[in-house]
This record gives sequence, C-alpha cells and structure tokens, in this order.
Amino acid sequence: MSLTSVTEKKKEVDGFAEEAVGHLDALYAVACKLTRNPSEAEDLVQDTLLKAMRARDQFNAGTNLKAWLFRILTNTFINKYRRGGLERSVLEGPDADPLVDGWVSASTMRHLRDPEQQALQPIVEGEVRRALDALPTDFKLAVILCDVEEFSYEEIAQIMGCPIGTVMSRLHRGRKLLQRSLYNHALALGIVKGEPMPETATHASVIEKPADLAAFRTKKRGAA
Amino acid sequence: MSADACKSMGLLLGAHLDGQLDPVKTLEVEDHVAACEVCRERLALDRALRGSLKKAVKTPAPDVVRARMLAAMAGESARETRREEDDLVAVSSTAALVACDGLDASADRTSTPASRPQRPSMLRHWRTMLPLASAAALVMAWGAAAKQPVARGATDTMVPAGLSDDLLRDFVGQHSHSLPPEQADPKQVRQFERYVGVPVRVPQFSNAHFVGGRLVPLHGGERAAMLQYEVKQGADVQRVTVFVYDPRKIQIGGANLAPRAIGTAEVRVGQTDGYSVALTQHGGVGYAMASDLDPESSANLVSAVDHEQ
Repeated sequence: MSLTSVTEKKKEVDGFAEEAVGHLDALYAVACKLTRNPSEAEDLVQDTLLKAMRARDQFNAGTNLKAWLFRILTNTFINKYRRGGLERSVLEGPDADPLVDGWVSASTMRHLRDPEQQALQPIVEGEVRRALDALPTDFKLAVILCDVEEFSYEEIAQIMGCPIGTVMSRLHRGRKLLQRSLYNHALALGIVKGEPMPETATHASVIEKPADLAAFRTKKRGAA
Repeated sequence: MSADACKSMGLLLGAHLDGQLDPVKTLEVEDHVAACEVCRERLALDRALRGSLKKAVKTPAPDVVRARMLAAMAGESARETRREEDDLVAVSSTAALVACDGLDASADRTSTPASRPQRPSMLRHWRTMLPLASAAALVMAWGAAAKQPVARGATDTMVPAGLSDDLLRDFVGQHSHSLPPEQADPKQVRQFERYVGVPVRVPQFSNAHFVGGRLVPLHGGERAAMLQYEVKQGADVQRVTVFVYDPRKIQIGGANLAPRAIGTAEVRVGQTDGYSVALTQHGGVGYAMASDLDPESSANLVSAVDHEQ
C-alpha cells in the first residue's frame, strides 16, 4: 500500500470538494427557489454535491464547474421531484402568445420599475419574489440561471438539456409573465393605471392541451 | 416607430440585455432603442426586473447547511479512500509475486523504484496502476527488511552514536514499552486526524499485520498517532511502529540523524537505545518508524511512504 497514492488521492478529492463548495450559496439559493422548501433544498444540494464528487472523472477540468454542478442539480431535481418530466415539449413550441409584447405604454413601464413613491419599491420587490415562485419550473429555471447566475445561453442550454432557441423563448416568456404579474399588482396598488392583463395565458395553454402534449412527444420521439 | 418593428425586437431586446447578440444584431437593437421610447423602457424595465430578481433569489446557505455539506463530502472522500485501499489489498498478492522477480535482479537496491514490476495485463482500470506499482515497491522494501541483506558495518558507519533528541526517545520509548492499541479498525484510526492535525492513514503491508493504533502524547504537549504492526518471521515476531505527526509542530532533531536518499524519498536514519529509527515526510505529514529491524531495513521501509510514480 502506498501512503503516497492515497494522500495524493485525498488531496485531489479535497481539492474538488473545496472548489465545488465554493458554489454552495448559488446552488442553495436556486435549490430553495426550485423546491420552495429549505430542507428539501438542502437535500437537493447535498445530492448534487455527492453526485458531482462521484462523477468528477467525467468533468473536464478547465470547463465551467459551476455550470456542470447546476446541470447535476437540475437533473436531480427533475428526476426526484418531477418524475413526469417538465412541461417542456409544449413550451418548446412557437410563442403561442405574441401579444405579450407591446402591452403597455412607456410611462407605465417607467412607473413599474421606478415607482414615484420610493416606499412602494419593497412591495414591488416582494411581488417579484411571489411572481417568480408562481412561474412554471422551466421558465423559472431559465430566468434564474440567466438573470441571477448570469450563465450564457449556451451554458443554460447545456444545463437544461435543450436547444439555445428554447432557452431564449423560455427566458422571454418567463420575463413577460413576471412583468405581467408585476403590472397587475401595481395596478391593484394604484401605482399604474390601465386594464388588468391575463396572467395565466401561457399556463392555460399548457393545461388546455394535454392531447397536443402527447402528440408533440410522440412526434419528438419519432424525430429523434 | 412601427408596432411591427417593436414586435420583432421582442426576443432581441432580452438577448441584448443578456449580452448574447453578435455585433451586427447589437447595432440593430441599439439603433432601434435609440429611436423608440417604448423599447427603451422595455429594456429599462427588464434591467430593473433583473436587479429585483437577484435580490429575490439570493439566499446565502446558512452555516449549518454549509457544515452539513462539508461533512457529507468529507464522508464521501473517506469512503473513496477506503475503496482505494481495499483495491490495494486486492492487488498486493499480485504485487508480491512480481516483486520477488525484481528482488533477484536487483538484490541490494530492492527499494529503488526503478526496478518497477511489469504491469499485469488483467488490470482493468488505470487507477489501480499507481497503487499497484507503489504496493510492489513497498513489498520489495519489506522483503529486503525481512531478509536483512545489508551488512551491519555499512549501517553503523552512518549512524551517530547516541541520539539525544527527546522526541526521538519518546518515539522509541513508546515503541519499546508499547501500550495496547486503542483502535484496531483503520477507519477509526483515521479519526485521530483531529488530534494529530494531519491526515492519519494506515499503511497496509502485505506481510505485516496491522495490530492497531492509538494516540500518544509527546514532549511539548503535542500528539502523534502510533500505528503498530507485527511481522512474523518463523517463530519470531518483530514489531514495527509508525508514528504519524504534524511536522510543522513537531521537529525532530535532525543533526543526529543521517540523511539518505532512497529512491525519490529523503529519509533520515539513526539508532537510539538499541532500536532503529527512520523518518521521512510526505505531503506535509511526518512519518517516524521505530522498529526491531535493522536501520537499513527501517530506512527502506519508511521510504516507501514517499514513492512517486
């Protein structure tokens, strides 16, 4: 037995563990948003880190460790909590709701991002938090990975296992949904004036088309 | 600005904000945004939203979570090391056979890593290669130790008489009047790390039996892990004790110890109170071996902790 090889081994393992744990805050924050439960988030992060350690031979040194960890986290989450998979296939279709854009005036948007009464700012931010929680998982994940963790589209595509075009569409629609609920909330508070927007347009299209979903999956499988 | 132009900006604005557009598209978006108040506000709103999202998501992991993750990973690391060691035990019989061939070919320099055994072809994984070669080297060293092939005269000339270092006497004293082991399970012995301050690994020798380990106090309030082995040679049982210590805290008087290079390892060798002592360091961990063997054999043996491939 060689003390050397074991010592080297330990050093290598510890080095990897140290680097991985450097991303703990980011992993934990995203896990909290995905699971919406701190103790489940903890389990998810632990599963992720241990899986990463066991599979670290598969990680190409010099590539993005953080992106790799997030990919494991995402897959673990989907496998554990979303056995049926995500509502992916429907969302990969063309933007079903082109009217999302061009919905309010410039001055309304200005009020949304910068309410005249600064005291309202925390309320707006609280609404962002709530609206994010309410987003479908795929949108939520895309938005968080891009806006909070600042991954590139390519990295997000790898993490989520989908084409870049899909990432863009999810981001676009996720952000629009956030803005809608923000707008409706601001409307209710009297920060802006106008007509309420249907917040659930995209949700409804998902729910209303189970047959299409099955058909879409079959089509996809056939193509693959 | 036409509504159509704004509509086609939809996806581009987001990608622009994310810095994901190529230069041509970037110019296109910038031109449009400069001329269109609505799209300018859309961009500003997106940007503000991004800031709010960062605040909403940011959740530093609590210390207790961090501690749990570190513990889980340390546990995984220990399990892996354990598996590696099991692999080593599994290959050590093969290594011993190969080593015997090597022994004839290089009778008096058997510990030199240059006399590396051929790699048996059935090894399925590269990871087992390094441990195998190291194990073979150690087995050779051990074989040499058991045979005591070196003339005493050669050894005596390099050993200054009477080592005065207190710590060295500590080690030898612990070896000669050894207390019974506290732990026979190498896994438990590894837990000594927190008292010793360096990782405590249990070397496994193919023809030596690990009896157990214990913590021993040393002069100056420091502690070392004491690992006890027995080698059977016919009816005789020879004892070998390996001390694992933190060389930053425990400096052992080197003046009375003769430095030697064995393979790539620097080993210091001496004799005190009738026992041979050999010291080496590797990976920031100090190893001292006190044994009933002759100094040359001890030196060869302890050098094996430092065999680099």
